[in-house]
Amino acid sequence: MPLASWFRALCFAAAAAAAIPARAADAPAEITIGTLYAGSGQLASASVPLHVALEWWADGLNRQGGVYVKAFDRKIPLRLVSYDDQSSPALAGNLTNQLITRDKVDILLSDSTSVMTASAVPIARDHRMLLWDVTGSSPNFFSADNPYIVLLGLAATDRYPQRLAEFIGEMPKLGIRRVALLYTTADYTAFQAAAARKAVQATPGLTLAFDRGVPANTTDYTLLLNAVQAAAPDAFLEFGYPANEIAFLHAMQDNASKFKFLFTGYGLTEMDLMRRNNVADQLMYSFALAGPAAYSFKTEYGLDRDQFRIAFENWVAAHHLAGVEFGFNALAGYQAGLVIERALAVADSLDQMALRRAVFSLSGRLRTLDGPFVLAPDGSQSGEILPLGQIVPGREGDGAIGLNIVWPPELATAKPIYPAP
Amino acid sequence: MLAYALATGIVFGLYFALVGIGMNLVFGVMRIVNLAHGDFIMLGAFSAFWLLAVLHLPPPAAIVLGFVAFFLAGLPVYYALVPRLARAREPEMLSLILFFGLSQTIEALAAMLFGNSERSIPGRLLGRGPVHLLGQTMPRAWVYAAAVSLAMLGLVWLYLHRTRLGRQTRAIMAARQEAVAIGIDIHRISAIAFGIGAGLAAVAGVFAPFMLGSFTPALGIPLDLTSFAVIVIGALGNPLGTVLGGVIFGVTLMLMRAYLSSFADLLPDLVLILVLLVRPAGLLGRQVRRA
Amino acid sequence: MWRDLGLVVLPLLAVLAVLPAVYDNGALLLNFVVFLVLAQGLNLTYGFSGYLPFGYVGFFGAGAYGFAMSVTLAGAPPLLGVLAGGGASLLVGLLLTPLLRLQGAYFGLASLAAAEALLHLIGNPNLQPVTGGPYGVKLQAGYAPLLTYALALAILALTMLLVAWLRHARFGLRLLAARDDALAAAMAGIDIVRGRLVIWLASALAAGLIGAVFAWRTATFFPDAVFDLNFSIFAIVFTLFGGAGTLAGPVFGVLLLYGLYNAIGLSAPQYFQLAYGVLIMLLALFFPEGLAGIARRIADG
Repeated sequence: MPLASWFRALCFAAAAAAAIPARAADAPAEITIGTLYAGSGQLASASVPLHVALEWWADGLNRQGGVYVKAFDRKIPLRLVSYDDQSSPALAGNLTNQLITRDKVDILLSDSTSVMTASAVPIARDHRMLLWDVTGSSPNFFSADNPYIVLLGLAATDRYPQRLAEFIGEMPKLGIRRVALLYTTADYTAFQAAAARKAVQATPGLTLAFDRGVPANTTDYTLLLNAVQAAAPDAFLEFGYPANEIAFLHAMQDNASKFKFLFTGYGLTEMDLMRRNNVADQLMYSFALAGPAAYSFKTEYGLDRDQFRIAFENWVAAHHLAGVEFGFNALAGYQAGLVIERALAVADSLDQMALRRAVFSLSGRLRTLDGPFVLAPDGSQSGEILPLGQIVPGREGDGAIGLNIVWPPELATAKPIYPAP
Repeated sequence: MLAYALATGIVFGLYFALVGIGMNLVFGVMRIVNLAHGDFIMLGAFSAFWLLAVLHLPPPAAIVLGFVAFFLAGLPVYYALVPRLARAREPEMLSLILFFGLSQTIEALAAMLFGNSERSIPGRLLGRGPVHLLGQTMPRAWVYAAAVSLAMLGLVWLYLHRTRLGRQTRAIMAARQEAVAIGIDIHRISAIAFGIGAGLAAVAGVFAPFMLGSFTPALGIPLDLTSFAVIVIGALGNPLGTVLGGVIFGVTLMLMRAYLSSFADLLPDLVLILVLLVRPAGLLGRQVRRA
Repeated sequence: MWRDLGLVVLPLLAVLAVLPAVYDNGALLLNFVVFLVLAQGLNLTYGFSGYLPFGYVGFFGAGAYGFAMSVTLAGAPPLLGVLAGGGASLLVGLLLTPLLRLQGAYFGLASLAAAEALLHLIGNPNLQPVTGGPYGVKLQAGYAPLLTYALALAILALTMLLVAWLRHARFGLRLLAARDDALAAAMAGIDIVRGRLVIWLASALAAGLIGAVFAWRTATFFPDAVFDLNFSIFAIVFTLFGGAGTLAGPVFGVLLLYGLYNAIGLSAPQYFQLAYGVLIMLLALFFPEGLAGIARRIADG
């Protein structure tokens, strides 16, 4: 047969193959999920627990024969393709591209944190791959003209502090007059501080007694604590990353500092980490947004918080993983898995836009341990708004920690205790 | 506030001097930029975690054990790595590559062994309650850290100026070729200096959890940057200049914290540049040398 | 000169130009070119005048932010923005010329402090209206993988041409002689000083231009991403291992070490940092003369 005929035959066969609708027989042997994690560097502490939770989730499904995929009406095993980006955004670019073009993954997950997600956003968009953004919540990532991103595990940064801002409006009723703000000057924390500042300024009767940003690598808070105390605030709001907050709480301990009202950014987000660092006592009677690791959201799909915690900790123990705590990051990894699981169960095909439609169809209908899943049209997360909680002594006494929800009124379980005893 | 900021700056600065002095000693004697210095301190912090928080040894024992163990471990590391550097055309430059590799290796091993999440030691292990100063407070641990730093810096001075080994060490620092010519055993002296550098890093590491709030395996590079600033302000290769460098670094940092906190990182960098422009070899540098 | 062009520059550029057609990890290819430019840029200043700026990434970041600010604030078209990035790094380079009075490690560490200072300044929340501060940069310059790659190659070509020319021009040879002999440098006088200044600015420009291209390609980034100290450390390690002062050395340094870096990252991610750290140590210990030493050993059989 001459070359031209070969070519024509080939084209014909290809066209015929394309015309046949997907059937069970065409199902792929596995669904590949590509992801990055920071195995070293500054972001490893946040990234590793999330990745461990993803591995646990994929393993659990594979033990049951895989994930149910509606497009092929059968269970298909999952394969997790993971690379270590070493907390380097430039390397994350290489690796994201590798996942898309070389590994040809079906589902593309980003690493945790906005810094690392940033480098994946344009690459995913350019390759028309949907980026399943786990915790990269910077408003910079979302725009009406980019359909290739959905935020799964965390309310977008501009919506995240909503309950705190509302509660600040109620502060004068408690007798609070002077508010102090201390925050690290990174994207996530500075945004929360800005929302709090705006709320203070908008509330008659409240004044800002102290308002300082400090560099994100700040770990000596003694002088700052003394300065805040000199400003004699009624309420002190502090926003930092875990390393900042641990240092901050140690400084409170070492200087025997007390505040009538203390809010911390991470107090109820990575509680186990705080406990391991012996600063949990310092959080007694303090306020924080009640992250899903501390607060049990009504769960309609997947394990609830306590079940997941047990399963995750068993997995960590069984695999001898050092320095991996249960907390928000671990939970966000599982949350990503749950959304993927649900989306595959309703998607008509593995086409990226079909997957996007499937994820959006879950919006407003999915309630997991991470709270209600609600997407804004630009793909950012509008559900998963955290209530404001106050840490109180547990019922059993004996050092156990209890949690009162104090805002919003429809979720509140107790009145705020002010001033702290 | 001003006096208090100065006081905390001096206390913190003395600790920064301890952080930097090991790196400076190694640079002075071997002309090596030890990029793994911060990782030695990180390992010291993990050792302290085990000795203090898990085995509940008294802090002085942790300091002594840390110094001795790291000193002894530093000797074989020296003999395995440094003599080979001399074979290169530009040993100082090759040392950058070699110790970058060592730094990566140590960080990776620490992450495998201990995990990546933050660890810390309760400050009360170094004594309860704050110290009151100028109407303000300071953690008791800071005062101990500053005192131990001062003691270690004093011991380094005594070693360099009052012992035979120390005098030979200074001879190598001042004029390497001449030191060889008069029969000083360069490798023996250098190995001891490297061991002392590692031992000092261990002591700095013991206090790192108290001064830095918490630590992770990724602590190394930020500590290297601090060490660079401290020892360059003082003078490279002059261990005593480090004390001055540390105090200047600490005081500028704390003044900025007190008055213009969001720029707190900026000023120490600018001070470093200014000092070098006025005195191109650091404040206590005697001459500009091709380092 | 022509031999350098024929044996090194043209083959390298030809291979890099063809690669996107057969290899589809465009981000990896671009980063290879980024490190090739950074390595040659360092080669200019270290190879010909002995200045090793640990803070070389400062120019890269300045270029990235020069690009970002000209595009977002002034609405410049991206191509003009790349030039603005180069301009920003030149400006930083000019500001830092007093550092050239320093020597050796003092110079290296002072430049590092300057790069860190620039990062802290740009990332400061008070500068949010200008630089975006800690909230980072979001560019609407249009994602143009092919154009940015072509631009990066052009910047690489210009940088390598400059290195090749310096290696043969009398000007460059005098600089080289002055580099290796401090006494000669002191005698040589004013034109050596001026020559070093020109080289320094050219080196800053190269990093700034490629930083601008990187920013264009990355589109959304935070200050830490473009002032990442790893850019400096890697470029220095690649250049030194490859051999400074030569044209081919830094090229092979990047191809070998950055190649191995990515190969390990892709094949053994769970041992990435450990394997690469050990590899770098072994190379430094057993090939203290770098790639030149390896080449000599091969030549000697």
